[in-house]
Amino acid sequence: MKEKLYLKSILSEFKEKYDYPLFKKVLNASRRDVVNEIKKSKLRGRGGAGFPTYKKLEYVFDKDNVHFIVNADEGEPGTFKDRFIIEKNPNHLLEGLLILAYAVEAKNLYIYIRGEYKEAIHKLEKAIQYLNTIKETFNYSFDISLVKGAGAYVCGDETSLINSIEGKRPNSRIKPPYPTEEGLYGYPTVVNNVETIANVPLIIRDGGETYAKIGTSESTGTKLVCLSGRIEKAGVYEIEFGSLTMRELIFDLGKGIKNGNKFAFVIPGGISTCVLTDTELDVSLDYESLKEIGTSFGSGAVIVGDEQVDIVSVARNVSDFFMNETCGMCYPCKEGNRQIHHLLSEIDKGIGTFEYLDLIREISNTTSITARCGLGQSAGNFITCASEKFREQFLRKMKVGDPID
Amino acid sequence: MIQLINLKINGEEISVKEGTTVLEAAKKLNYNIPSLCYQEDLSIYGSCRICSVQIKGQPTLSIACGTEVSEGMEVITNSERVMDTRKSIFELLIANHQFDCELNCLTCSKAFSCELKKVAEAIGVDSLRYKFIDQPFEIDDTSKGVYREESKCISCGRCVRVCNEVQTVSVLTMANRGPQTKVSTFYDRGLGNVDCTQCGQCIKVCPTGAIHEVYHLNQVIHELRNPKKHVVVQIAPAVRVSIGELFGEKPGMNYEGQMVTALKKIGFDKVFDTNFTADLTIMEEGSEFIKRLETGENLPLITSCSPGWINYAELRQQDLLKNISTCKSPQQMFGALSKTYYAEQEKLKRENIVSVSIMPCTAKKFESKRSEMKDDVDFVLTTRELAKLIKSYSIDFLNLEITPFDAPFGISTGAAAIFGTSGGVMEAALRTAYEILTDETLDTIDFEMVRGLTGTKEATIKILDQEINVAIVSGLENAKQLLKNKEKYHFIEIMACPGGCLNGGGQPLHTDQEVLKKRMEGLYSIDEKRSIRRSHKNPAIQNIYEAFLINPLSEKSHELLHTSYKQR
Amino acid sequence: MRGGECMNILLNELQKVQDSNGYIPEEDIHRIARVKDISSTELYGIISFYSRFYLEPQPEYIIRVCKSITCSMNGSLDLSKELIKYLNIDNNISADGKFALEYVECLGQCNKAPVITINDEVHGELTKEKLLEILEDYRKEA
Repeated sequence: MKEKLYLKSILSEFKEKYDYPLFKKVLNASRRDVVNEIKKSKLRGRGGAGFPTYKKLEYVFDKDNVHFIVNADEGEPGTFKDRFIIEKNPNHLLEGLLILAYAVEAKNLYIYIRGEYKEAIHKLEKAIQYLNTIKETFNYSFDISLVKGAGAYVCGDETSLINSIEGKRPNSRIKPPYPTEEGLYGYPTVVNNVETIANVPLIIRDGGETYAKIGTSESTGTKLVCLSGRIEKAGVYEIEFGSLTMRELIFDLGKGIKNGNKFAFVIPGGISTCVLTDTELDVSLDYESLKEIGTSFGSGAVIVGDEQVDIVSVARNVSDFFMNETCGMCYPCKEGNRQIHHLLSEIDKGIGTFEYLDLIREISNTTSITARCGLGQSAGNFITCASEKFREQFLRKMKVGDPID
Repeated sequence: MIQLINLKINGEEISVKEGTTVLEAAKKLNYNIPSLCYQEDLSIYGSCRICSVQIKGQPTLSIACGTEVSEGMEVITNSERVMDTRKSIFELLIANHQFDCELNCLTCSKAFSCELKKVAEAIGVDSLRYKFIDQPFEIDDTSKGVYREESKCISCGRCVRVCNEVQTVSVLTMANRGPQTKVSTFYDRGLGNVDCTQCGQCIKVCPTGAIHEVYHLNQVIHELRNPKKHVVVQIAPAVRVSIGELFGEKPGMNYEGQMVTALKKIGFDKVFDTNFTADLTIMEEGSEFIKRLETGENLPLITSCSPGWINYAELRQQDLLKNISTCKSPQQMFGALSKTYYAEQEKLKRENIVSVSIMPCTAKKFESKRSEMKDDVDFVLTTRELAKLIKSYSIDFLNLEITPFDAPFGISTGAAAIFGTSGGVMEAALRTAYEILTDETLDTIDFEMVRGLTGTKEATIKILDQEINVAIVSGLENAKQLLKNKEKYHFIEIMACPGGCLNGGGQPLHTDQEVLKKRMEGLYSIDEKRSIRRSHKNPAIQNIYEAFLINPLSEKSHELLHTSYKQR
Repeated sequence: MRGGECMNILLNELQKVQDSNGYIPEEDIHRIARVKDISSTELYGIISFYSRFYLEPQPEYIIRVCKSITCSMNGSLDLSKELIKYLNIDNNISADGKFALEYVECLGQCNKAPVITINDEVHGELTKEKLLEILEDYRKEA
């Protein structure tokens, strides 16, 4: 089983004094042409939501003063693909950004990158510096502002990100209106993930139809999967959607579990997705197949656990994450995550009861339908799923009697 | 052409204006969807999620307060899913609202007005399954007027919004993130250590007992029980048309007579009327105004009876301090007289007199403790504290007979009565200033153009040959805006609280425009019914000048009735 | 039309102050609040949201140990105990006052788990030995 080196190969062609040939190619075409190629490519957002990219572009196509934001806040645990892209070839990201900016006639471009990514920031700053020196060679004016995050996961959410750039407390916003309607400083705004944008030059180079031939009919192109956890060979692997199974990813590409330990579970798309057991490893790696078995590809953060990992501790660890990272504005998310963390801590310490699992599920249900933003709405997914699929492990830690379903 | 939107709520059809929220539309059908962070006149916050409703076609619930109606929308407010979800959210919220032996609904200061209870009832809460998780809650007792208890705060953000949006003083903010998110002040230093004006509007919107006034009640009762002390009390204009509300009465009904009876029963030695010194204020301030008109110096003259405004000016508008009237507020004028003139008349020692005031205001507590005021007023009780006092003495307030205020400080005019509403001080001052300057008697003394609850009002009055431009503002944001053009005016009345004292920080809580309107009408009604309606015609006022003060702005007046301000 | 002046953005401006002082001093909060036409209180509320902004002076070295899922699965918390022992850390500060210890969420370096950063210098694939070596180097430098 091999990687599909598609995006990775163009990334490895980094040239410091890059002259943006694909952007220049696009400037000779119409904006409508660009959007059409994206539409034909069926490109979906790679940040986690998997939303069809062309739809955002369509929506703002006729609007004035469109702003464009690159979401490089990559805070989802287990995710490091955007850092990989920027460190490998920041020019490539900038080219994708410029192509999309042209498509929607956006002049004000922002890259919001998490402050911890010092090396990526440094490389990106140099790349932007160089790009600014050759600005005049393009028949298109633009301004790129690099915004550095300051340690808040929630800023990866679209509207929180926008509030953060605007210099407000980065709570999420009430939707509607959505950013494409009213976003940064009130202007129609498109927010895209780094990996999504990194696919754009490929689509321009090869054409949308050709791009769409890679992958499956619903999940086109490739995905940079971040394999980590108790895996022998952690790293960023580029896979063609639908071309391999989870088992193949873990045991062929990732070379199996560290120290030859036994596989226990895998989280397919970051800590807001449902965990998979050893009986579910033959699922094909694409958006629709994972959705069908009740989970999601999310950001592509594949986290593998072995038999020595205590899944109850993992659940508590995940609840701790959400509890600390919630913006703290809406009650269900703030109080719900606090309570879930408390309940899981007690279970983990051996002083919980099995009613706790029901309470956790109820809190998760409530939060999933009432929280203000994606963080709150999906915070309980992994935890409730783990407590169901690994119920025995949870019950084993309970305080009271013989755990029977 | 206003577009009407047709939608269904719980199967019932309704047509409303475009831009109406689901919450407002539901209210028209008599469904009062429960909510906590929502507050009329403040921005939509959308944090409590309790007003969540099911809109057909939406996978998640939507908040009724933040969702505008759309054509053909179908809303369900009472499905099992919605109601179970509301209970669940409420339970989660309550889990963080500490209940224990010390902190419970019986001992809490907001025991009988807590919105959590009303919402619990509206939601049908029947179990509380989550445990309270220990947190480092703090008490903010740094301020002289406003007290904060973090353990009761539910982070609804109303106090932050009223301070930012309505008063634009902005001393409160949400701070931190995650489970540590809380309402805080700059570096968490406490309200007493930041630019808080003590206006108490935050108290008025707080749904729980997290913010309330600094209580003086127990100290007052202690003094009442001391046989050596002669305890006198003065009652502010706005209190009398609001106190009834705390006993179930409609707003705007005048209960001054019953208050006197109650206070006498409780043991106060004398019950006086702040309206008396309101008339006195008009004499002093009216004379001050006339003097400034003559010299043209330090115009516009700005009123000084709102300590919230004075705090604001000392902190943020220091270049205007020279414009502010040097007159003390009626509360403090009264305090000064009670400890000098009154003491002499009654042959009492100053240290044996305890001077208490009952105010619709929280900033007055701060004002009374200013060093310039020399402890002339020992304690200030809010309207709410007065109600608590009366109730704790088991007095059947609404059914009491009426007793008149004690002389000599109980005689007042209609002009004094209207001090409690925005425009009242201005109107009272104009009635006197006009007649003194022109030496004529006005045919009609109703200055309608300065009345009303609007935040900013302007008027021009012709006195002799001069056009006098006046402005009346209430609410600190309105004041800030108006003062940018202050040169236009000769005289400006500024009240920190929107609508004036009748909407003060010490007044009954959770009011709306309707209630304020009734209180205002109550005050103008008192004015109308008074036989004497001009401050300068008050015989008790004329007496005190003859016997004691000599003239307005005399040396004696300056010593007792005037003050100075400082840059902070 | 924005001039691409990155300093217009509050986050960047705060980061600049943080970078030169190691924290954000009170005078700077007042100054920046004035420029942005917001109250100092509101700016304080904004700054307090972010983990990487400090309102008080910090020790010379900030050690951040990742406690998120992948690193914790790979022993980051055990490593932190070694760290605490070696640097004699009490109340999150080392005995010599030069190191601060923080537990942070995912740093995006999961392929090298377990990971710590020292003043944002990434140290990954740590073992007890490697960690102690690194700490010794920093100690010598300090």
